[in-house]
Parts: sequence; structure tokens; C-alpha cells
Amino acid sequence: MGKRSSPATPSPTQRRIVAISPDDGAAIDLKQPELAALLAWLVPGLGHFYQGRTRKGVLFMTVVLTTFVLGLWLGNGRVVYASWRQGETRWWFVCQAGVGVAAVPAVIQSMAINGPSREPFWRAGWMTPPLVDGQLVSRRYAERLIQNDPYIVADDFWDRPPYKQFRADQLSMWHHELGRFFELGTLYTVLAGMFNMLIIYDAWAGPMRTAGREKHLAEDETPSPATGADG
Amino acid sequence: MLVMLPLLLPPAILPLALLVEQVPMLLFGLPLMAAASLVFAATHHEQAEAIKWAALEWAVWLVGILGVVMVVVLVISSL
Repeated sequence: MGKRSSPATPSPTQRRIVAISPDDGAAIDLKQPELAALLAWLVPGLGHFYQGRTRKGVLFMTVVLTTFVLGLWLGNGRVVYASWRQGETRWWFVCQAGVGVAAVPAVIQSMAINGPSREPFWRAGWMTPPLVDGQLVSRRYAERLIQNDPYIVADDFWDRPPYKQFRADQLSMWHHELGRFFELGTLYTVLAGMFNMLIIYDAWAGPMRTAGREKHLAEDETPSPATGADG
Repeated sequence: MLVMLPLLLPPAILPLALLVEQVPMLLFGLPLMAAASLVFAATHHEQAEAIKWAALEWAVWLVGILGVVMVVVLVISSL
């Protein structure tokens, strides 16, 4: 028969990491907070599902993904892309990546179009960075752009076998095409990512408590000198 | 831009896209303020009732603060 630990000192396998609900003081079992935080980044709300906080998970998933998809729709699928080229660095993607898996295709598209194939992985061009002056693309992708994009014509490409070289600025075309909706779509998707930063913290550490409220509670609990420690 | 829309969007959502064109820019901020209120409230509370009231409180603060900023900007732009 093995040793039993006293109830006052739980064994390491029995310890739980909990947060305290600011509403009713109940314990919130965070399970493995690091895993919950990772899941919360991958899919907004998934970390809360893992912890059994289902209703909050549904709320977060709905709010963040709706905001993100709405932003994509307003920007015609063009506002989320990853670009680290000099002079065309998409810093907003750092915030958009906060939504997790939903923003990963932008990285794949960027690697594909800048890689040996010179065309996006997904042919529809979703989340593909805009072409810049002098950029080489595959003939197939150039022909697809000429066919499908009303702003791009055959004269926008030089022939550079086995590729085609773009000689315009596609980002300017997008701004002209979308007008205010490019910035609006960017705003929606950026905010969706930033909201998920707060949600990741909630999954990792539980609800945030304001310092002012904690100080007020501490003052209420401290016995006054007149009554003494026995109340 | 309205002429280009049929070439860019599936026909099923074209009427909605045309409607969106007519919405004043300011109103696009309302869904964002609603989303921010919900997220801020839900990350500060755990109970549904508390989240609901906190979201309302956050929404009032956001609308109030942004409203003041908008008034200030309008006044300055009219000078």
C-alpha cells in the first residue's frame, strides 16, 4: 500500500490551477492554462471549450470570427495578407494573425507567390499579397489575373521567360477598386485579432480583475481598530 | 465602383453589396463597438448576467467617449 498525502497537502498530480470568478467568488478550473491559451489562439473560443466554459467560448468564437469574416468580406478578401518586402511591409498582419488558423492561409500564399512556383497556393488568390512593380509571377497566374481582374491588362506584364514580370502597382489598384472599404476591412480584421489577445489571456488566467475593485474589497475585509480582530 | 461590383461578387450577394455602399461610414463603427463591449465584458466577468450588464456599461462608455471625440473633431474642422 503506497503513502497517502494528507488532505491539507494535495499531491502534485491533484493540484489544480484555478481562477476566482469576480462575480460570485467561485473557482474556475483552468486545467492546463498554457494549452488553453494555445487553443484560444488557434481558434477563438476553443480554449474556453477545453476548460468547460462553453458559453463564453461560444460568445468569443462568434464575435471574433464574425468580425474577421465581415472584414474579409468588406475588403473583398484582399485586406488580410502577409508581406515583408521592403517598402511594402504589411504590419497590420501582426494584429490580424491574432485570430490564429484563420490567418494562416495568408502566410502560405505569401510563401507560395514568393517561392519557386511564383503563384499563390490557392488559385483564387485569396489572402495573396499585392503584386509590386518588377515582381515575377508564373505565366498561368498572370493569365488568370488578366482574365479575372478588371484592373489588370496584358500590357501590365513584361515577358520574362519562363515568367511574366509585373510592371504596375496592384495595391494602388485595390485602393482604387475598394475605396474606403479597404481601410474598413483592415480595421475589422485587425480588431478581431486584437480581441483574441484578450481572449487568450482570459483562457490562460481567468477573468481580469480591476485593481480598484481589489483594493476596495481588501479595505472592506480589514477589521477596523475600534472593533478589534474578533469583530 | 458600382459598375465593377457585378464582375467581382457572386450575384447572390450583389444586392447586399449595393446596400452596403449606401451606409454612412459612421455606422460601420457600431458593430465594432458592440463587439468590443462584449469582449471586454466577457473577459472581466464569468456569469452571463454580469457579462450582459458589463457589456452595456462598456458600450455606453465607448459611445460616450467616441461621441465626445467626434464632437471635438467636428468643432475643430469647422473653425
